[in-house]
Amino acid sequence: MKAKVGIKLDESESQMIFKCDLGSMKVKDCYIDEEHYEEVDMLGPNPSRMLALGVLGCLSASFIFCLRKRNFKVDDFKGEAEVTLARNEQGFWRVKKIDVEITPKIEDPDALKRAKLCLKPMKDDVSFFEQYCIVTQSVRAGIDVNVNLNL
Amino acid sequence: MSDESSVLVGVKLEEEMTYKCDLGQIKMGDLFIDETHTKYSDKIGPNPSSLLALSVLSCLAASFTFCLKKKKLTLTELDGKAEVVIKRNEMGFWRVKKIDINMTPKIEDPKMRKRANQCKKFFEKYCIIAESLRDGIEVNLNLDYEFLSL
Repeated sequence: MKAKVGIKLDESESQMIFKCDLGSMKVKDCYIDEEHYEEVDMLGPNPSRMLALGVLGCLSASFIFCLRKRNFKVDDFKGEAEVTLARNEQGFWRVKKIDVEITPKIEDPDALKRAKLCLKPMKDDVSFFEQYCIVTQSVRAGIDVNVNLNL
Repeated sequence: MSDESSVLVGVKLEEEMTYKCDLGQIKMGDLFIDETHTKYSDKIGPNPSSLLALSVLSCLAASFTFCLKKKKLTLTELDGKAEVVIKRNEMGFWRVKKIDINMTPKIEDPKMRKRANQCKKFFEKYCIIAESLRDGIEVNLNLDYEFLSL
């Protein structure tokens, strides 16, 4: 399986803002902004936020997919990811950890039962739905990803 | 900046397997993460693997342009492409095996070429994302400006 994406330097003078090239996808607006530090000034997420969205989106989709396998749905769903950057021993900034908080709202008792099965640990104490999340499991060799799913 | 900093993002379920990103006060139109559609032309947003690729690619591009900016050199063009290769591991789970990056900045004068050659030696070390991922994912970079006419 392969996925391809691209970027182009934005026309602004900053040299640190990029426009995403997502091929034929129906995406109107996608910029990555490494120029501005304050969120209120940013024209798009920075690479750390993009990484957090990748991890959070993947975990969210894995959990929903696990429910859908038994034709269950959530009543509502939200998630948050916090990326912590810290300097390594040589002084370079690195991603230290990503803390993920997932809060589904499930009212149907059968769906809740299935959700608990999705959380069941498999090998290495990693839950069933996390094992199916390609991005999280792939980044974990380099970055701590802590997942908290509140049922 | 202190020795630690953090950023926060969020998602909300939009429909099926599509999520709307919560980017706080960032001035960008709606960004969706789409795991519902498999066909590119049906997608209303990137999938998580594409976001990972965009993150690594833009981080490397920003590190490179930042290195040039340190000597007040500015690019007129930079194109970047990232290809994520996903394979099954020994347990049968899909994992990101490698990300191949191609960056083609337009280098217009000898002074810039000289600085770009210097940057090439160390700019990757300043990319937070690529260097953080490399323990688990192979990140290959091809920075190609040698064949552009000066």
